[in-house]
Amino acid sequence: MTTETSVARRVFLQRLLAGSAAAGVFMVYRQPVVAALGDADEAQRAADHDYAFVVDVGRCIGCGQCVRACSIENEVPEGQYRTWIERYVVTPEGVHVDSPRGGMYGFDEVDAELASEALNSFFLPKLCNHCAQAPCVQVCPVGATYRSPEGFVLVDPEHCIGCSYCVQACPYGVRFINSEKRIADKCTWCYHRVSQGQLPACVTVCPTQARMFGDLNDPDSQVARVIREDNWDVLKPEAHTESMCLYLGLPRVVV
Amino acid sequence: MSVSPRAHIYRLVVLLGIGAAGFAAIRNLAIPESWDDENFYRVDSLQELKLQPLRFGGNTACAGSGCHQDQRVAEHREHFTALTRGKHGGLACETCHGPLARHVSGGRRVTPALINRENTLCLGCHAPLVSRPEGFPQFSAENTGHWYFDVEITTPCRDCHDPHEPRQMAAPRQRHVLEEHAGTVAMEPSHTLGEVMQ
Repeated sequence: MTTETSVARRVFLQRLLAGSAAAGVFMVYRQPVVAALGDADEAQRAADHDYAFVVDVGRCIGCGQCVRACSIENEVPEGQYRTWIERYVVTPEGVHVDSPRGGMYGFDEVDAELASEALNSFFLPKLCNHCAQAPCVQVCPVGATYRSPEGFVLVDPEHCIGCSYCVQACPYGVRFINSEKRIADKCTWCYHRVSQGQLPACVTVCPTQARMFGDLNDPDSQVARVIREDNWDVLKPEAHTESMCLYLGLPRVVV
Repeated sequence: MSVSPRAHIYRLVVLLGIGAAGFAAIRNLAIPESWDDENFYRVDSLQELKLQPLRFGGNTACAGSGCHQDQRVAEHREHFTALTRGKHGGLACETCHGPLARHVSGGRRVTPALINRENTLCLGCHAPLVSRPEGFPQFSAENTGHWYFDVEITTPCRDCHDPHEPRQMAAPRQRHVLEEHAGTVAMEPSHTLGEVMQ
């Protein structure tokens, strides 16, 4: 009786030790194991896409269709813009830049004096660059802004506290605090459309194909071709944001 | 029975224990279930953001849509074919006719598609601006055809140009308008007009 008990105790202690070690190992490696079991398909599908946006400056006619479509598609409050068009007029005296109401309703001609002095003039559409190294993502204190596996920089509306750190951090000025929702807002490359196989609203309505959107993993896409031809620029390369918005024919005066 | 000399230590340990348990409980509640620890975001928000309703359907949604029970099906197809072979081939239906969601909702027509016959629609793209790319067609009264027929920027563009196929000028039903513009110019419309418009 006594012998049996002491043997049972030793076995019990051995099992306890082995069990604790196993539990410890599982607790440490739990998340990768669970992730590997559950999200493998999802992660794989997401990684199949690597989206990029191309703006051909030489094709933009400044009609404002993209800005209007964006506002309708995303219910952007009046006076705020997820995308906008800038007009550059380069003269010997300096560079004039304007964007009346974001270029939403097009542009009236510049005054005759300025037009006569113009050495070069063009329209420049701007939007979120969906940077691979996005400063806005780095500064968000609550993890409400992030870069999805497919390359969309997004805002989690449930999580954003509207502190506007990201608005200040963005080198391109694409973020704003939505005046109705009181949270950070920005271009999403129409994530909801792209996930259903549609193009972003601005790309859909652009009459001159100045805006292009596609998957870099698809060698036949326009954006992949642009990358291959290697004649593109990004805005503020010195910021090392790894912008995924590529500009064709970007004049040097653009800052 | 005397109080243990270490009672204050025990009390402290118990309080710290309660504090730690409380912190752990609150932390557990505050972190969303689908939190991605590596990339620091709520994975479920991706699905939520996908739920945003679409407003624009793209050309594929309009081209040859079987929505209409009457002659409109053919009309849609005809406009779409004209569009794709003309200079306006790159345009989306919704660029001029407004977003699909304003026209159709839940499979039913809610309002007629926007049809703007005013020059403002054309001039949104074709008004002459110094900033527009070189070679992009912009209105000019000096343009051969415009000059010949005294066309001004206020003259209705649609009198001569078919917006679905703008190169297809002087369509038969509009030819009389051209002749009016031509005024007293004596010419044989059937071939001379065509030459002028090239």
